Amino acid sequence: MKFNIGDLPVIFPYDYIYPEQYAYMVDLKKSLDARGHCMLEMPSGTGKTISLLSLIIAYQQHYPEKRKLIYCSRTVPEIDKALAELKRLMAFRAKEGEGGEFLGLGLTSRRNLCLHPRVSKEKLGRVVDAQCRSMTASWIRSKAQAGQTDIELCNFYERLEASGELPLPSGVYTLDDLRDYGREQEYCPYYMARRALRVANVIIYSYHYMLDPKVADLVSKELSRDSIVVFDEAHNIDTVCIDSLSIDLRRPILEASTRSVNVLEKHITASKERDSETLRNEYSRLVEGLRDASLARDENLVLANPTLPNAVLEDVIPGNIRKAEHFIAFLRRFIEYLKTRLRVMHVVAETPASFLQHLKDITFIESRPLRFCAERLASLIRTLELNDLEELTALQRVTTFATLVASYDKGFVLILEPYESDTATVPNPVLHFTCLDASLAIQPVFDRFSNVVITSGTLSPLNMYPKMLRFQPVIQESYTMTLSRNCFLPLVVTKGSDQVAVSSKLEVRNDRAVVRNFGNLLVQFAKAVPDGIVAFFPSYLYMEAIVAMWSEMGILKEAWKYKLIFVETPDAAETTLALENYRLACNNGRGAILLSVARGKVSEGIDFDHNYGRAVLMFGIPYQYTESRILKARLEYLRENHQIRENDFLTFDAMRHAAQCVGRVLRGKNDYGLMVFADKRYSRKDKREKLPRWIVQYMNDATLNLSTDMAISIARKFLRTLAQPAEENQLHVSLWSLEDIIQHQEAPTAKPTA
Amino acid sequence: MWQSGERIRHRAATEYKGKTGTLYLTDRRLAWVAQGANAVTVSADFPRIVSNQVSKPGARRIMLKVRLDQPVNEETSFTFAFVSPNTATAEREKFKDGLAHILSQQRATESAVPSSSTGVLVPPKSILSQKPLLGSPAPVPSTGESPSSSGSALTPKLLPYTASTQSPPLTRQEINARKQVLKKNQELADLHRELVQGGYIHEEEFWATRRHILASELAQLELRKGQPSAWLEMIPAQGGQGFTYTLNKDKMYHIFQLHPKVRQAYQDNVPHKLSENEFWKRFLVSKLFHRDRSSTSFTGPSDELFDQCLEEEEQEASERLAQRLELDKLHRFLDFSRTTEDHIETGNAPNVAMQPGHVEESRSLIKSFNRHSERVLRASLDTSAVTAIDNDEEALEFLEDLQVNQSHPVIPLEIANQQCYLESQGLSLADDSSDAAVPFDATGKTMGNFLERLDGTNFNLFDNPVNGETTSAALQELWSLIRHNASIQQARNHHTLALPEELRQVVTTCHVMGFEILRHLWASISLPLTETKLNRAAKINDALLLVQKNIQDTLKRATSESSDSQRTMNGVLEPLLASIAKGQAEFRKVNSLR
Repeated sequence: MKFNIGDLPVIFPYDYIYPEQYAYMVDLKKSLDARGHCMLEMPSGTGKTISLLSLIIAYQQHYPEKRKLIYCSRTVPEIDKALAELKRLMAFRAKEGEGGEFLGLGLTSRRNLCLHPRVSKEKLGRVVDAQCRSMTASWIRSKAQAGQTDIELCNFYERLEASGELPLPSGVYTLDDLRDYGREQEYCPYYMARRALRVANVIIYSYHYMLDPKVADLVSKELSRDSIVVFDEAHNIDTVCIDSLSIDLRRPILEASTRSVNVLEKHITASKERDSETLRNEYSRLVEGLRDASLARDENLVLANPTLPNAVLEDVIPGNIRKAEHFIAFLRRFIEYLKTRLRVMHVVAETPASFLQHLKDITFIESRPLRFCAERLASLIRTLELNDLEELTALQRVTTFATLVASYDKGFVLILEPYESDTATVPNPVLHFTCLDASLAIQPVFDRFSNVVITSGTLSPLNMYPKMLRFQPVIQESYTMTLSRNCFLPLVVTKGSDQVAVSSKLEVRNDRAVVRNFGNLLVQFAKAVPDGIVAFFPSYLYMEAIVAMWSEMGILKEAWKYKLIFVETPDAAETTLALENYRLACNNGRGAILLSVARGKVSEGIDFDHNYGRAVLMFGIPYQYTESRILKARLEYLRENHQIRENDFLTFDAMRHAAQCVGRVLRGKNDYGLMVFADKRYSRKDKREKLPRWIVQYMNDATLNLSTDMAISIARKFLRTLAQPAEENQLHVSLWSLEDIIQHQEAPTAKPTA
Repeated sequence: MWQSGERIRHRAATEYKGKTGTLYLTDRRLAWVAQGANAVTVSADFPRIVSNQVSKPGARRIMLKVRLDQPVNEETSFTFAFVSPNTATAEREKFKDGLAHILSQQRATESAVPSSSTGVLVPPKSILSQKPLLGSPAPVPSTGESPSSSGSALTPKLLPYTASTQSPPLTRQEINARKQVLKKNQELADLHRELVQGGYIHEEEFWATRRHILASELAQLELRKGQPSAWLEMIPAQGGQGFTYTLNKDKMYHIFQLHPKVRQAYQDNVPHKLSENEFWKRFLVSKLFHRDRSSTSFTGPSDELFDQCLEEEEQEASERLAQRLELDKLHRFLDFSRTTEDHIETGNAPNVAMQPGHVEESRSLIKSFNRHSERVLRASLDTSAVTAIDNDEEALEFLEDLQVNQSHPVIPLEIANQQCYLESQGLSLADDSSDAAVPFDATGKTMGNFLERLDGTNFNLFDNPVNGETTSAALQELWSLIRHNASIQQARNHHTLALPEELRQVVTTCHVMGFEILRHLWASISLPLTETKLNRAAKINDALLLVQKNIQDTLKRATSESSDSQRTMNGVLEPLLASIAKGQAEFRKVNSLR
């Protein structure tokens, strides 16, 4: 269908549109017009991605600026799906006569794109990266061109290099398409995509490529200022921001770093013997300073990099690390210092300032040279023409740490924990360098791009994100779901059939009565619900403990009769297989239960739509582990700097994950499923109001305080009713035709009539 | 040398008693002709053949042995060796199958026609043998009392089957299905024993009206069953000193299923190296066994045998996993590694609570869960279907309802009263059994509902003062009819009868028997009448008399019971007696026409 929003003609690749999709588009357009950031919460399964793409593509193609769309998503499957949607949209547009030059593509790591017969067999991204670099680095290739014969080059890369300009014709390329095209033409898909980023109209990649300074520096630096940046599934964006600036240091890493330093030293000696010129050249280059980089940033050419703060750029590299040998000695001293710190057998928490002070007192290392560490190492690697970067990853981590710790005195904390947990007896010391302020990583994005869209199915309460990420949205909106039949039913189970309250509170969670009641809930739902059931636990620790207890108490025996049971395991591959089997069991009618963990692998990005999930059970409230020192430090920081109370944040965080878990059950209005919240605390208002509006909308008093047996009887009735064929009365209510839109535009307040 | 009209089905070069010749299978007999002879040397007519045997596959000579019930040429068995160089086995198989088919046909007809040697059929003790019913326990087959000795002249004989076409011989599957149905349904089994084994009704006739039951049973039997998903719970009993595990055949079987390596070890070691007892004892203290039990981490001694099993099992599992990953056919959207390897690892390590695999005891348990589920699932799947997972299946998150003309082929479920169905289902809260029994007061409730509905309807019956009396009289009659019908309905619903268990059983048997026989009676006196049908009807009528007598006896006996049950018995059995009387009258009428 084709309609106008204001003066903008929008092509939407369906015959009807959900009212919330229309509202979403209208608000999105407003924020694009206003050139401001926005936050939109849209119920899951109501076609958020397609609405977003439809509007932004329409916008892009309508106005002469042709603003680029950078669409960031959470997981690779989600990137795949978004690309497929884009492809379909563009095909539809072409059919409507709106074709033309257009390039849309996704970017992922070498590991997922590589075609090289040997390298692509590797499973680890790190390894693939290193092996790829060893064949494609400029100095390797120039050596090969100089006639050295024992060098293996990548044919795909060479062919791409030889092809000159971008060889990718207009179109939309999913990750598979990219590989297929690369295979056909024998071009390296990864570098082809990297090259295409500059000219592409739409780029879809993971938000690490935008937020993680180490990657963003390579990939997203040159994207134009007026691009529209979208963070989809962005409910966890603060965590991603924090993660991208946090570093853990452990003994093995330091040991590996020492080894790397030794290797570097050998290379330096060898290089000196061979040709002292290179190192001298480097020296003079460093004297010049990082002038180029600074210049580029002044002109706003590139995205600022938090690991390369402005202060660094304006400075020249300090004299004491300019010479390669000096830098090596410097690194060695720093690593030794860190090693001694790890020997301390009690918990230490300190600010970067006090850490630097102590460092200076002991080793006379000043913060200024420390700040240049990462950059200096990169320069050295380039100079020495090293290709085996894999063995340097540990050292790179240490230098990144050095740069960060010396650059920021606020928003970070250092925590040294000698033992992994309070009960552990074997020391396994770890130095956490933790970012406490999510806004640090995302600030450059907000500053650089005029339009940043943050959207997800679960962003409630909406006022939390602007506080944490320090930005001012021009529009923030949460949409409800219009339904002609209530296709999902949130149930709050507060007690077992024996009236003992259930809760995942630390004090009672291992209580046998609670464990039994949780178990019975699972068994009863296994009996009542067809096909798939997904159960989420607050943590791996709890899931593993409760599974052991259930097995011991013989509760699962009953559940086995009705369904097969699959469990998320520590091993990713095993979990993937378990999931595959789970889906097979759902498809062939055997029925299955999947036990997994909120915040875990499965809860992020795997959909349990239709028969893959007729019920989601959320056992307990997925609070974070409150004994964690990192969490405590963050809570304190949030309270002091963002005026967010500890409890508010904890509940907000727990509820967004709970909502995310139960939201997995629904994909589209034809789907239906149960959302079961099993904890007495869910019935409290302060918890509930932190759930997204579209879920709360369908909670009523009758379903807020249920015992297991009551919940089962309601669930049975719900499932039987919803299993009937849907009646065809959705039109004009939860489905709008073109006339409905026009009518709505003329009289926005009037209800659409049939 | 062949009889007229005899057709040869198979032939093969064979040796018999060292002489070469040709073996023939015709449509009448098995015959062997020596080489060069122009007459049949050995001939065995089919009715004489009792059984056939073949040599084991892989044996040196490929042979067929046929056993006879009477000596032919003073031999009761013949052994033929197939000698064709390449086709011997195939030929033998042809003969074997041919004979098997013939034998099975023969058996089927034998059972239909009573062999003269078996003599008088002896039905077990039954209602029809006019034994007092009350106090007689569940029927025990007895040979002590044959109907002929009971002094009745009504000894039934097996009646010839009246169906116009001879049905094909039963397959093993069909026989099984019949057995199963009788096993499951006690009432039907009783009926079958009384009527069919008692010789009143032919087996085929009995089943003719129950084809649907057989069909569904057959369908059930033909279903390929999946593996049971039950998880082996081995909860030890806590005795005086330590734990006691009890193993039985079932559990052992289960263990073998779960650990094929243990089965292997069992086959290799029991009983010559280890006694069975010793084997299981060692198993129960092994690490392998304790791996699947969560609660206690294993501290026992190492056991070479089972530790090796464990190791091999682990290795096999990891190999399988590796193989699966090697195939690279993981579902695109489920492969976590694609996301984790998409970017450089960042951030602090998760805290203790969020590190998977931290609880030592449940790690192996969780693994076994996944493996067990997979095994159960894959057991019933084609292996080809397992690896071919369609990657593009959900490439698009397509919102179907946003598209016009979505013509789903919808088959509406026909439920007479949807509201009633949904509500009653929703109400059955505590029922643990999936198939809830029909509520006791169902009839009462239905009546109530009916009444309610009548309440809402205005027939304007009382508005007319002139006809007031006639109207109420008509209503009265209507009501009495409804009550009468309801009582008949109720009578058929034996569970609801307020009678002592013993009486209730008798009443049930009378009912079932009576109605079955009546049905056959009416069937046999239906038009057009033939002589055989009338003969049958006469026999059935005899049986009916017995039932009638029984009912009367029962009623008489019931007088000793409380007046309540007496009334109920009367109410329940009276209609049956009436029906029987009517049937008999009809029979007499038809019979007199003869």
